[in-house]
Amino acid sequence: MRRLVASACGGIIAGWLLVPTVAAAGPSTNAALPPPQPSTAGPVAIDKPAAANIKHIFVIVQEGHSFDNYFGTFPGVLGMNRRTAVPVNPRSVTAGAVYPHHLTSVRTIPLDNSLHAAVAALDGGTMDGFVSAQSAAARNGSLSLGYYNATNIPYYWALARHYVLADHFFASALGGSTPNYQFLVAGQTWPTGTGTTALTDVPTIFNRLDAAGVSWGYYAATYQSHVAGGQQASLESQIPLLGLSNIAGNPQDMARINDVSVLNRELVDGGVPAVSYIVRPGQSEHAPGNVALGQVSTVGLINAIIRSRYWKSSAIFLTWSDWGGWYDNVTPPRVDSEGDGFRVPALIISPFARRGVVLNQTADFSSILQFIESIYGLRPLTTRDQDAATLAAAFAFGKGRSAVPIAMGVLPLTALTQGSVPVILLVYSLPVVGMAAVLGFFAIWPAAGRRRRSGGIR
Amino acid sequence: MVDRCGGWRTVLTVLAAAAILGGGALLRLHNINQYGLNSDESVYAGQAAGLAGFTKYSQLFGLFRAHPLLIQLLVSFAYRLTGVSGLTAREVCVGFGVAMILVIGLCGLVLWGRLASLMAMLFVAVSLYPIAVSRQMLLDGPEAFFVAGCVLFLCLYLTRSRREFLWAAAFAGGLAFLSKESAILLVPAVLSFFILRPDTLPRSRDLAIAVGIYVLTIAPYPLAELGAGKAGTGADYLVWQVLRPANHPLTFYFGILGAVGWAIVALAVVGGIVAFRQRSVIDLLLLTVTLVIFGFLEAWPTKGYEYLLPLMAPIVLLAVSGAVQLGTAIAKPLRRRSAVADRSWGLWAAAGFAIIAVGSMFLTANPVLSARTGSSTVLATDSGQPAVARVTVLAGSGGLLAGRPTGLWAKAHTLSGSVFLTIGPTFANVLEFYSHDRALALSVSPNPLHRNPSYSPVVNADLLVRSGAIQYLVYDAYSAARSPHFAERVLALARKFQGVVVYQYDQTSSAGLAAALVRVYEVQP
Repeated sequence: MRRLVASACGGIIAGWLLVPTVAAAGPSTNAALPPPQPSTAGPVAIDKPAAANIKHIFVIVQEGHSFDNYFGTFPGVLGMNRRTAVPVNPRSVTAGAVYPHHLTSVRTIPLDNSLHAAVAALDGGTMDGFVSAQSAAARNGSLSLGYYNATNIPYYWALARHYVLADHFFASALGGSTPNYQFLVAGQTWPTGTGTTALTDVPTIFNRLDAAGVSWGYYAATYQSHVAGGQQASLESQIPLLGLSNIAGNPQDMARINDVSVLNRELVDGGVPAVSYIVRPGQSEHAPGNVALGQVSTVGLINAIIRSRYWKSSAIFLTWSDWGGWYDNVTPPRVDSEGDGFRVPALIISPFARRGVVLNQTADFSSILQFIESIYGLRPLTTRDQDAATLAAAFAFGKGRSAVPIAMGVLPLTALTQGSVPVILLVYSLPVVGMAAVLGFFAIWPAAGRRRRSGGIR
Repeated sequence: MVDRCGGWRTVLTVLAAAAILGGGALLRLHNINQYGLNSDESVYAGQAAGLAGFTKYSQLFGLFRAHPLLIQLLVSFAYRLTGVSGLTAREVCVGFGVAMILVIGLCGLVLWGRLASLMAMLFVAVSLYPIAVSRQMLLDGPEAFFVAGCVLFLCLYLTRSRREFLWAAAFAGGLAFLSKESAILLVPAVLSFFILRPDTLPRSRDLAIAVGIYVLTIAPYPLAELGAGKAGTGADYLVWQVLRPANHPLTFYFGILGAVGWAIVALAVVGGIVAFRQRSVIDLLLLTVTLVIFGFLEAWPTKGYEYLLPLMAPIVLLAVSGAVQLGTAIAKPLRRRSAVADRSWGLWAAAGFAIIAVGSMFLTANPVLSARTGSSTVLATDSGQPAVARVTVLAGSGGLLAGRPTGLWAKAHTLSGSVFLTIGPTFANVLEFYSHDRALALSVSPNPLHRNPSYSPVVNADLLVRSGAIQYLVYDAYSAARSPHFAERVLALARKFQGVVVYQYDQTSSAGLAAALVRVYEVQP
């Protein structure tokens, strides 16, 4: 079965690499690139300023949205041109085109985010196959050109305004969420099928952390450790560790995989590990998931971290696992046979993060691995994280600032009444002055009273 | 020789008055900051802070609620000097409480002389009821002071026939209204007196001037609301007050008389009976003011522990009158020689009654003080999970034991801008004052006819938590005892959203069991 899956993946990738024969330029020159190789390099040099300040790393992963879908219209980014249309059929100029359009609903029907659809959308690097790729999969092709903005996802936009938004951040693998979750922990992919085949043995960042004596935790919404020995088929994609023998076979490591509620408790009671991965902290934003509710659960967790004692030594990386079938206008670089995939949003949130900056550094999920390795002096896992771009430009150490939580919800606040204060002072001044006058009179009254005492009514 | 005796008597009187004032002040200041502000105190202190320019408070405590703003304005002046604190606000109110002792003493001096004056001061200084109320940042203490001032000026007007005193009485009555609008009851009380004794009616011109002074004095209340575009606020409160169900039984105020002092009340009843029989001008004035105001408060559905305080002046003066009458009656058989000696005997007998009255109050001081001025007493709570606690609940009866610590914890340990959900508005007000954060109350009715217009209802708490608008749920035993239904709803929300207890205030009972008076849960969407 594993061989079958592997051969199928290989066939699709080979097909994608052959697509450039259609395009005049682009990825075709990288067709012969190998997959990521195990790294033989020594430990990554410790980033001393970062290591001195960052003691807790949180990697939060949501699902299924491209950069342009969420931040394509954010000011100052390399976003989409709303006047540039994507053809309905790249092979036919008469078939019409679809322009980017704002989505008014926070829930949509799902799009095809498979590798096959991604290869078709990429169209050899011309990026004009997004509509046809979805139509070919019997989905609503024009929907893929839809985008959200601050009216739909205000809290994410608020985070972007306060912290660092990376606009050259790519998913590590072209395709859906499963290979990208694997890249997030291991810097490479492996065939899936846990529960039906033997477990795989791939080194992950967590094995490196174990070896270095650094604590870690992996949290997922609705994860129940007691179900099927801790292996739930529905969570295998989000928790690739469940398919690895070096983790799933180790009870101590399995105890580090928990529901998100455990992290919420640790943030209050203490015991948060040095490195925490949180996948899909609540509602998934992958269509047909509600993006508004998804952002609430995600930003709620971020706010909880900001409120916690750990904030002062934290770095939070918030990103999305894959493109979700949505349009993005930037052709991903070809670094090896796996990808990169399309751009996904990435936010870097930390008291040391530069304020309201758009980071132009080209990076992918491997850069997060590289950041962790540079904090603890770990050996790289594969050539991906070994060669990954550093995210150091997102930080300005020595300029730690106070917490900026994102205010959520609409509350019936008491109307501001400060403007009424001058009115109150003005109209109440008369009795106050009168009171002072009466007190003054009282001071001289006894003498006056003695002089004028007379009989009254009896 | 006569002058020398008079001089000594004056010195002794002044010394005794100073001692009484000092004692009264000590009783009012003793452990004044032991408990934090209660709900009403928090609102008034918050309004004062807003007036002093502390904008965080003005965002949390609307300036236009049920009451006028004179006292809040005076406290705001103090806040500009000292900064915002519950203690400063209470000290300002203690100032009014001590001043009320002096004013009632002046009434006694005007009406009956030095010994009666000291007697009146002693009654007010040691009576547990004015002590309990004057220690709090409530509007009733200053209102009672101005009502006493009005009574003093009316007595002066009636005994000296000087129109200036009538005008001063109108001004003091207006200030009482600006302290708390319930002082409007002085108007029907005084009108009733003039109807009963039309011979005391002033000349039309003097009366018109007095009415003008009164109207001008109270004008800031409606003018401020009009100027701020809040003209309907007063009407909203009136509708709510009239339509709300009674919060206490009809016997409520009779229970408070025990805190005033049964001996004082008994003497006042004697004074009242004599006043009714003799119909002397002053006694009738005191009796009319007492009966009209008490009758209205008894009929009004909303009752409060502190509402009777403005009656302290007429009640105490009636009690002094009763003591004097009783003393005179007892001294009659002892009369030996002159009328002067007779008067002296009568006053000393009255002083004897006063001492007995004060002594009887000390015998009941501890239980009354602990029940009325301390925090709500939690008699039983579950030491494990929060459970409805049996508490002594009395409107306006003092601080909440765990309110201030919880608010200060929230200020120190939660981020600015956090939003809390409490069971009821009582704890929400306290939390807002000390934490500077927004606190919503679950028990506030969505029906505008069934809620205090100051409060915003929480129509869908579940949605607010799910949308991240509320980050903390607060359970407190005090509110749970009043609203078990809403307490269970708060706990249900905590369970549903896997609330994590981030703060707990424990109270150890006499049996040694620790019980949670307050629990704060952090919840995630």
